[in-house]
Amino acid sequence: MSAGYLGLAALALTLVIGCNPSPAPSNPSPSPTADPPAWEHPSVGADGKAEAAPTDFGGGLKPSASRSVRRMRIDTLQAAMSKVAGNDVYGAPIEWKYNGNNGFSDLAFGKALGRPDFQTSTEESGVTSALYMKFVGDASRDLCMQMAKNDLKRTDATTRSLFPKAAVDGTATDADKAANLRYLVLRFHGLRLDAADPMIPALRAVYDAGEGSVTAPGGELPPAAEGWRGACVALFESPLFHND
Amino acid sequence: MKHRSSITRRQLLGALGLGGGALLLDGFLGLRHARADVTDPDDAPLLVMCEFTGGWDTLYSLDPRNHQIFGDPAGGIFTGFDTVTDPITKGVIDTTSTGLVRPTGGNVDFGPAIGSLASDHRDDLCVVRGVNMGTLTHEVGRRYFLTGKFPRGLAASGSSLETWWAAAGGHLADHQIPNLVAGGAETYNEGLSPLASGLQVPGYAEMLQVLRPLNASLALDEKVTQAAAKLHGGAFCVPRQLDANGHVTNHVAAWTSAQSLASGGLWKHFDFKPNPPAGSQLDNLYKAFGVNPANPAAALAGKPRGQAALAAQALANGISQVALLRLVNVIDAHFDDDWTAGHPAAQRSGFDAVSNLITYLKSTEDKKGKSLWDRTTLMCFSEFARAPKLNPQGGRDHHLASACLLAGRGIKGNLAIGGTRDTNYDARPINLKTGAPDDEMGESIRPSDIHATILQAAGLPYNHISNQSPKLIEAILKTP
Repeated sequence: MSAGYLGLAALALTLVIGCNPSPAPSNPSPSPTADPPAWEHPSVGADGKAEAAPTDFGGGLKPSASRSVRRMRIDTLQAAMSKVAGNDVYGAPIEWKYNGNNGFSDLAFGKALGRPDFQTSTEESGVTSALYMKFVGDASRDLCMQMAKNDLKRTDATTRSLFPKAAVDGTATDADKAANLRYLVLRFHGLRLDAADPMIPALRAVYDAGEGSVTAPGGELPPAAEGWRGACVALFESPLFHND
Repeated sequence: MKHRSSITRRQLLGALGLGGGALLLDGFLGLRHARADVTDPDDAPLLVMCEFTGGWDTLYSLDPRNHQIFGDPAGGIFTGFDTVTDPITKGVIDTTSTGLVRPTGGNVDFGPAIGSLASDHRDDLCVVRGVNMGTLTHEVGRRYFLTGKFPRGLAASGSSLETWWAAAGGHLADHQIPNLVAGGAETYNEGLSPLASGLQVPGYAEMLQVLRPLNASLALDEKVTQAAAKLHGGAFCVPRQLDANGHVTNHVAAWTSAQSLASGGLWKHFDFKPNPPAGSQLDNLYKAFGVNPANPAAALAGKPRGQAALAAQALANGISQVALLRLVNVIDAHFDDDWTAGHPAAQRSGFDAVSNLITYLKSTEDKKGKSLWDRTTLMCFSEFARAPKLNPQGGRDHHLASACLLAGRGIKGNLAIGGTRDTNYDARPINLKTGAPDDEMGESIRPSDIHATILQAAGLPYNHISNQSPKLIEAILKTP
């Protein structure tokens, strides 16, 4: 098939699979026990308000000011990952450590990640590269392991950061796991997903793969915790985490 | 998520945008028809770009003057060689008395900081003098030479040459890291396949860290990665809404590349360990680069030779097709101590590394038994040159007329074309067919012309250099 046909096929596929979920209630009644309403991330540069251009420029509606989505800066990434990882059981922030230094610092991988030093470089890339993602993967696996280990020490489930809504002793139901997945998406991406959102089963598959990878007892994490660690890494590495 | 019952205008436009992005990424708009007709990966043209950042003084290297003639501080050009303190450069000046270095049998005069490059590879080198940079701003000159298109303000316009080279070469799938960018060099990809984007690493040490997990004990099961791939690539609403300019698409491509890189054994090629077995590839590399095998880090870590060795291994092992190196910071020599000592030493270290790299590529064969050098194009450049007269601080300020060094596939060697005026070091127009300066009927040489010419020499298209009217410098092409 030629490039043109392939491209047109991609275009047609994109149109067919457009966002078209079921209709929301026109006037949902708040309930003290129900989840808050699902929230949709605003489209880029779209505030829904049209502004009139000055008449000496011809008047009429002008598009709102906007810029393209770009990758977050390293400073923002460092702060965001630390914020999501939370604190350990002693109250100290969980950080990505490498050879005793914060992995994002210039003593570790800050320069490799592209943080400008304002001597030889003054600008930072706004584009995700393989190098960036490789180190994000290293950071994610480290942070998620720390999160899981600290959660295992917490007896009060509500204080856990990675699996507060689903026990890891094998008693968690599918509903518990779904609730925890939605909690994680909210914690990592700031998205309040509907229970029927197609992202949930995709994320559940990541959890299941992680849980299923622990076949023998005695490892660092029990099966369910390994599943949540896998979901944690996937959420850190997701493009939704890195938008600015 | 909030639910809607129908496709809105915004959703439709968003879907169109994503579809358009898919078309673009597939090369539908421009790249596919421009792609070179190269099918055998072992014939893929290779490229090494060496950036001498900071603005080089071409009087020291590529466009020198005889110190006996241009040694008067009141003249339009003042070599200033009397004030040089870098011992090796000073030694060359004292020995020659002119400061000019012409290798035996050579046709080209080089300056005293050219190092071993001129004598080791005389017959391969083509010097283009009098390149009009059109700017005295570091970022603008750098990005002009990287892309071949004059920047928009400070911002680069178009893709950098090595990205275009990798994309147009048609062998992205044949190389694990098609475009390797080292030393902090800038790389740009405007509308080409994300696979052609440069992988930026500071040096070979970081390359090792990129190519293997930092902590193997934290690795996730392969099935987790596979499930994560489906999650990241899923056609969900929010990612599509945020995929402006292909941002999410590029992120997922980068994630996929990172998984592939970190799970292979490529890192072994960049593990420059001491005392490799005799006759091994690493042993040959050390010999070509003059590295003491007992302590390779002393010669390579943080040095131009280390950057060149990184590129050498990437090309020799078929990992990369193109390498862009910020080879050396030659120091923005506005002041006396920088210009008299640090600047010439830095230039020489850069040219010596280039010499080592050429030596290694010449002695290394590809799968077909051909020298890798036969497939390689080399370009050394800087953002601009330095002024022909010393400033009151004893250094040199920025100057428009620069030079560049070309070598390799399809390029004539032992040749210098173009020139600068003896009165004020301004660029002279040249006759494109002969390469000789022609002040009456000649053409001004710009980076876009350099790009077009070396692409033509390698059999690759150059129709991406829009709005620049690039000209082929036929004088340097082996087969015009």
